[in-house]
Amino acid sequence: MIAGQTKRHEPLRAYMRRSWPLYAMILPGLLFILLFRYLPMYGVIIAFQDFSPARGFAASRWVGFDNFDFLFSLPEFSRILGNTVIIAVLKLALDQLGAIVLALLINEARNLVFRRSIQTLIYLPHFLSWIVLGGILLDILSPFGIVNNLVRALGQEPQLFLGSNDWFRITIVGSSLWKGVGFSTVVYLAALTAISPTLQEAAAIDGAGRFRRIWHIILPGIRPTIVLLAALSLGDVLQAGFEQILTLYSPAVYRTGDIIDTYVYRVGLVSAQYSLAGAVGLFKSVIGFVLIVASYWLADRYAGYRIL
Amino acid sequence: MQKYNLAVASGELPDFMETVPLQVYSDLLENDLLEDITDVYEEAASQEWIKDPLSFGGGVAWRLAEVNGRKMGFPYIEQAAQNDKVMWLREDWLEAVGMGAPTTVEELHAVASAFKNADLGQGGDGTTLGLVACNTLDAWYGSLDPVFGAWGVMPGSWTPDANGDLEYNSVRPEIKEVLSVLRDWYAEGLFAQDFFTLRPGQTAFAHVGANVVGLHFSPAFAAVFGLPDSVANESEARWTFADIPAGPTGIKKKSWSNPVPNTVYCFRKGFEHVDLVLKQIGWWAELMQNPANRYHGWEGTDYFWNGDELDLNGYDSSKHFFGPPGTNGGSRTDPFFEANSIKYRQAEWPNTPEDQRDAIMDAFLGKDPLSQLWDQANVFAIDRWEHDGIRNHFTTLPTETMKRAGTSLDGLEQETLFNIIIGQEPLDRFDSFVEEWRSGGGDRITGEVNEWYHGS
Repeated sequence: MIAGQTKRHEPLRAYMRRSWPLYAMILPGLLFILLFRYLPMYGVIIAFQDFSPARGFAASRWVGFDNFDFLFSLPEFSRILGNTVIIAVLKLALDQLGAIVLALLINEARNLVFRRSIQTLIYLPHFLSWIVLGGILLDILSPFGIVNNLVRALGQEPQLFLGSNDWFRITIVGSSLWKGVGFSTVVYLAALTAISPTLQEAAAIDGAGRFRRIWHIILPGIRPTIVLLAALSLGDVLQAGFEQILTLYSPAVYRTGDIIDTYVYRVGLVSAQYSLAGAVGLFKSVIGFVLIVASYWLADRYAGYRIL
Repeated sequence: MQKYNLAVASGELPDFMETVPLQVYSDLLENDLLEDITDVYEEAASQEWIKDPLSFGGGVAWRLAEVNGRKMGFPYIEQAAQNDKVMWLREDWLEAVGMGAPTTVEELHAVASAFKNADLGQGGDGTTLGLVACNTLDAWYGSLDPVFGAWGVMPGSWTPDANGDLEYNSVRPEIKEVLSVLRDWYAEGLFAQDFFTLRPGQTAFAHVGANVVGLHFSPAFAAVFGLPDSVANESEARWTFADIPAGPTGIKKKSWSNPVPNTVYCFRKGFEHVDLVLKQIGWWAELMQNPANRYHGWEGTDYFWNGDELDLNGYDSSKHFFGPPGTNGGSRTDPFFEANSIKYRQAEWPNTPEDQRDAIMDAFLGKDPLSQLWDQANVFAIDRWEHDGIRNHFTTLPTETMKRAGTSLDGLEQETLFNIIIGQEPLDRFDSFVEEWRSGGGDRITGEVNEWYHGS
């Protein structure tokens, strides 16, 4: 905004002479994005080819939309797309919800040491890879694992959390929440610090209780953050978590747990099909792009949120 | 694989490429990027250490490396019976329940049930299992392939039928019989309730190492993978091995490990020194395989000197995981090298006069009991390798329909078979699965497979 106003008053040359260091500072980042984010997009052409590494991009045979036809005509396509969307949406929704609730709870805690240690503890699983966590989950969720022993102690029937179609999605979403919620919580906690304590004090003096203050002061205060994170996460609606599901699923739960990525991974095991993988990637990117644009428009319209 | 593709795509092929996956190999062939080594092989390859050993099995070694009579690469050879299963048993448990090693599937069931009911395992009450199984029916560890083999079938394999046509075993009616047996066993609790979520290697630790089971079908190397954990956790554990059990009609078969896997050593087109590589391969082969010197081991590979002490285990084997054929990492030219070596150690070395022995060989023979057991089981499996194995006769790149529908059919098969075993689907679901498999592309795949089979 300020830059725009200045521009109207002084000629471009003078403006540039004064501001060039700022542009110079943007340059490396811009170059990075161009080189590593935009240039490789050239590779998406393999989605429209029968790509062979020996022939390369230029000489591989063009096949039009064949790879997409194949993807959409798979007998399992509706099943794997459905599983992908259901698991991804549940994850996104619960992650946001869980993070807001946790952030509010931590924010209300008075003891600073307690707050810090809780924050670190819930953040910790974020740094473990799914391969490691998968091994741990397999163990604690096994028929004689800690969870099922607890279930038995409560007089209930032990469950196959990873092996039954009733439980698999719940386990996936639950474990993903456990791993990821700490990260989102930190973002919300940062947003909460921006809310002026004077507003809270004023509300308290006016007789507002804890919950009224949360509802009328804090939540509206972090609304832009909620809208932003929700909007950005919409682009991930087809990202159901490849590594996680690959480490935890088994043929018995294909019906509820097989997602696009794991399916394509198995296609790759049969024969290296780079073009199909490329087509899937492009398909997911296009859907993600449309959703991000749409959610950004919605955010602007209903929450008055704009990035620029 | 990615590394190879990167090298191929950038046009900078290495001179010599080891273990090139079949997919990449055929891509390289199609685009004429590989050196034809037929002539230089004739001239430079050693008769005794390369040509003769590689002629085993009527020339199967060359099934991929030779294309239209021309040698376009060098074969990759694995040792015979690498992953062939033997039946591993807890000897002390057998004594505890007063039974002998099972020789039929019926007895197998009796022993497994006895182990389970006696609850001999180390875990909590009622956690003892009868038999190990995992998320792959024909797996490299904790496998059920000998149970399927007892009915003469192997899921996922193509074998000739009565007319000499290849037939996909997973849809054969015998599979249904095996499934009905396995389904009962699962219902009786012989397998872990969640066995189908465990990868083969995990069963080595979660079941075998944890001492909750005393019966499993695993390769000879289980003696050094899984069993050591078991003994470490329970010093009284005594393991032994026996032959796989026979089925109701007396069939006794198991999955067969191919000594010529789908991978090839290749040379870049235009590479001038193929002869030198072949010489080196011959040199290594002689070094390892010559009876006159192979049994003494090699410093830095089999042993090293720790001061004045001979150390058999201290060397860094990771240095040897990669290398030309003939080295520890690469293959040898003779699939029976290991077998011969062990047989020599077991049979002939004790007869060698005291003054002609050397310290390394004695040290080898004095190895811990589990390593000795490994040697015994290895020779046992190799001796039965030719006869007991069900060979997958489909050994080439996936056909067109496999590429299109293979994953889908494979998923259907896995999902159905496992869900029948764990009782999520009725046994008769197998019949509709066979129908779905055939109409979903299976019939076309069978046609294509046989076209290849009869053409080659």
